[in-house]
Amino acid sequence: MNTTRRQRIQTLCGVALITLGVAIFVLIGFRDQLYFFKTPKELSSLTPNEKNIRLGGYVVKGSVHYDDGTFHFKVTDYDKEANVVYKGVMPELFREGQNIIAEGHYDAATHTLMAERILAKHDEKYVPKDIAQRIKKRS
Amino acid sequence: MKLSLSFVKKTCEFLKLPLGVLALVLWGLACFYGLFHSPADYQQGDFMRIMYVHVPAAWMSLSIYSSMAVWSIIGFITRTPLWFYMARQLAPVGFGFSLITLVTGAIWGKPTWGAWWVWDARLTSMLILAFIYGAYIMWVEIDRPQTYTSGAIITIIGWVNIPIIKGSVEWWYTLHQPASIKPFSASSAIDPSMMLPLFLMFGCYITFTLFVFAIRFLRFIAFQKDYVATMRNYA
Repeated sequence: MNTTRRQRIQTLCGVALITLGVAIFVLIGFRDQLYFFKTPKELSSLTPNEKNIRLGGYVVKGSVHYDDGTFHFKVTDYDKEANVVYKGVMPELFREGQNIIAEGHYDAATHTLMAERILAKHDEKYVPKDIAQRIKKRS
Repeated sequence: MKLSLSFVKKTCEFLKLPLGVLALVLWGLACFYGLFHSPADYQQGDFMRIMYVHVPAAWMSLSIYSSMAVWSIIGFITRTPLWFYMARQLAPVGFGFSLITLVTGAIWGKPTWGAWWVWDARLTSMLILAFIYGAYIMWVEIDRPQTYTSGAIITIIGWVNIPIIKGSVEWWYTLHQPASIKPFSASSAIDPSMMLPLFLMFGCYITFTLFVFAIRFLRFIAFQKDYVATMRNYA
């Protein structure tokens, strides 16, 4: 290997190491921003009455009440629960047991998130309709 | 890494027609199986079918960029601009696929998630990839030896975004769900009946990319020859 080639490889390695270092530094520094939502457990340790919070978790079965245009339900991460109040149209995939993200402002006194927007998450599983129905019939 | 211009030219000439035909055939098969001969999802219904366009496009935008990065490394170390010229021909295809990923993702997200766009780690890093592609294409358009070298360095540095895109759904909380297909893993979260159209479309995208690469590379070389001849006439 001639000197020029070795020099170029060294330059490249140097560039790669610096880039990696900067990337790791940035990612660790911006940790909080990279998390798209907080879980109910993380919510309970927040400073009270925070605006523009995103709460992510599973809709607790049996907790959904709808009255007069407003949804009330609970969200859990199987550790802690949080209440959510939402007035508006629910996305199609919203149902009990489903993973959702609620966006809005948090009222620490009542441990409730006043949601302005609800996003429904879906998992990475894709199952054909008829197979899912057959599984449901069996269980 | 000895690569000769004539070898690449001859391969492109030889393969461009079969690649184009194969891409067309695979596209037809993928559409048939994707739209008609595969089941709807239990949760999302027929909306899920956009996955057959969205997911392979995402795979392509990442693998094309990685190829560009590898070629840039080789070209930089061996000081052979041929590798840079090859990387340049791939870039617009990769850019196009990254745009397809973002747009079809938005179309898919609105009825399922309830949002066209969110700034979560997966979507944001994909958008950054599209920007890097765009910046590279515009930069290398200047068409000077220095811009090819610096373009190669940009491509190599920008590659740090690729593992971030891949890992974003595993390392951080995101709206986008984790990977359904993990490489080198026996099980997958996608039913086998849905795998066929998915991989047909992936095959279509690969052959299409190679076809476009062949066409663009041949045209690029022809243009360079014309350019040199034209410049000689002026000198």
